[in-house]
Amino acid sequence: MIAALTAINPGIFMILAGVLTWFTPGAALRSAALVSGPVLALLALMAGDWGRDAGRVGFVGLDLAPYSVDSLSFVFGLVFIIASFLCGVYSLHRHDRLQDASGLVYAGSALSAVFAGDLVSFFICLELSALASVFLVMGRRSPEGIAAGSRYLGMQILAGLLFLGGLLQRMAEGLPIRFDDMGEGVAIAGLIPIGEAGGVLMLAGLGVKAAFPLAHTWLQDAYPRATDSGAVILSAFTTKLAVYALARLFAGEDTLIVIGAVMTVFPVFFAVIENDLRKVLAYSLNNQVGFMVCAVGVGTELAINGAAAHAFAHVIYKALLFMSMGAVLLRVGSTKANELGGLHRTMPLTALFCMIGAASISALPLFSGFVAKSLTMSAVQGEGLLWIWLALLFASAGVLEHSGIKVPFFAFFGHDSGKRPREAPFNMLLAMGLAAFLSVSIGVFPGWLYEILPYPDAALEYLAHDLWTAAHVLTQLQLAVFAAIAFVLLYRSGLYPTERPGLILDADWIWRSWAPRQARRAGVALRWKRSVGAGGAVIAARCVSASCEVSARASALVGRGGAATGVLLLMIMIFIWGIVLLFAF
Amino acid sequence: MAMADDPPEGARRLLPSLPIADALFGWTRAAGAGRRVMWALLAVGLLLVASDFVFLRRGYFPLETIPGFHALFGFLAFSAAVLCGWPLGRWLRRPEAFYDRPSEDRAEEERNG
Repeated sequence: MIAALTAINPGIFMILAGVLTWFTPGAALRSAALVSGPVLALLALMAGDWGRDAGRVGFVGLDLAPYSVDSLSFVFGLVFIIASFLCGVYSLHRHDRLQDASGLVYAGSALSAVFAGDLVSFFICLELSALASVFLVMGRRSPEGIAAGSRYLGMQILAGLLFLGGLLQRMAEGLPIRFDDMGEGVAIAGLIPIGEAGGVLMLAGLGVKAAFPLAHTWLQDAYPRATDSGAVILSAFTTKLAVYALARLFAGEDTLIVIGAVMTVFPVFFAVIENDLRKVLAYSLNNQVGFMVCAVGVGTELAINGAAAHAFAHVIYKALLFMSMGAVLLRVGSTKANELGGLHRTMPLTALFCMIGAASISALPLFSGFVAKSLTMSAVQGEGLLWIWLALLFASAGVLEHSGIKVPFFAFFGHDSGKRPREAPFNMLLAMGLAAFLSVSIGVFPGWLYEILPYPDAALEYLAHDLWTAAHVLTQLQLAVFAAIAFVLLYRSGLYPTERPGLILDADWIWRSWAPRQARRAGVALRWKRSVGAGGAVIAARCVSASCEVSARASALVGRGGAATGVLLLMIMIFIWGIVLLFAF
Repeated sequence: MAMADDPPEGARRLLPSLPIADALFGWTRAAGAGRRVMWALLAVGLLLVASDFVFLRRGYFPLETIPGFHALFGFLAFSAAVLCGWPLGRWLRRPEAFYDRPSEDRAEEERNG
């Protein structure tokens, strides 16, 4: 019995907990599920004989591996379980059946996707996680939240259909879909050359999920509209799942180096002028994912270790930062910098935890960001990529600006808003305390994290010879201290831009404002309703149509068996999104 | 650090502040705290730059071996990012309900900057 249970993908336990939560009327039972779901998943993972493939499963003629663990999936899976647990504890004060259930299903399906051993299982779990996350974005039930959720939905559909199109192309060419049948030898990363059939479409789909430049605005649009706890759980999974998939499939793809570098730099400028601190954190998320994408692009063992370690540390410290802003939102009702300030007087523990998160993301020595980001920086240096290294160095100074200083300073110190809210509820403080403890313990004792990285030998060698060298630590301190000096000087001299309310235009202006206007001018009979979901529905319709075409072409190539598979996958996709569209609109 | 903007001392005394907050962060509300922080940072910064002359630096790029390179880069990069905020803010900031307005109004706003 136990052996059978340990052969089940751990994410399934969390998905089941989520489904049960939906049918559970009692708040206490739902709270128990929020915490016990991740615990069960952890037990299942640790009890399993990890490092082995749980076997092949036949499904409509496909050879699938719904549960497969290796060193790459383990590190992502472990941090997903930790994040789920932290989010569960953080959400205990919330009595909202929809968010409880969708949060667990979202986390569980992301976890299932990480442990999927083939592209089809991965795709189904990926879509399920996207579906569940929509309800978190809409969790506040406000018109703005529902509209943002609809736009988010449109982007997730687009990403899913792009990936599906690539997958179908791949299947049409008869290429393997199981990870252990791809690549050379025992490779665990970089399994698909971009030139292979479907490679570009799959990369594009994952690019939307990872919030590549110009496809990034769903992140800043959706996450800050979620509830105090919804944003925390959203911050942990979607983009990191995309990073995992990029590492698994496209590690070593040079284009990703440039895309990653751009991702690290451009959010810095938006974060400086953004007034909503949760939106600042969303831009900061972009910036951090950029480091990981860049590392994936470099693709060496050190770089893949860097991407995995960065994702691990980032999930925790970013959740911590979102938790602290969630606590502020809960107590004050706003996270706008111009309405905050001086909150440390009555929310000192939240302020302290926020500062630990800020120190971690700023990569200060003895905090988790330092031990994670150092791997990526060293990998980039090792490959002689001077301009990329300079871009990452600039982005590191930028992180200090927006997440290291701006968020804690303008919320808890700075100008005194006169607001004296109560300290965060105990469960929130407990979750923040645990996340802060993990961030510090990874920073002080990085050995245990390095041991579970995809290439532990390379990681431990780096730990022994490079990480704690005086030059390495001192240069990082120089960067941080002189950035802080610049802040103090600029702030005291009045040169720091004033925090002002307003909306900062971003790339979504193109399709939310410019394109509809041009379409109207051109007399196109396209009704862009500003109300719920029109954008998402239009994109969905176009993508379904495009995907049908791809499917039809693929089917023609592979005959009836392939056609059945393609149509089945497409039907699953359309069914899932059909439910969402019906529910949302 | 932003004591200049704090409410008057009399008003502050009337407001509750938790004892743990005073223990952890009370020093930030003291007069001249901002100035002290600045001097402390400058002192630490100078020590760090001086350390570049003590510890032999091996780097992947020649830039890295220049004493104080990271200090200068951190200062300039941070300042550049912040100072770009002024023109960017003027160019990109719109009213919060920008997307909720009819597109004709938005076009007018965009024309007027």
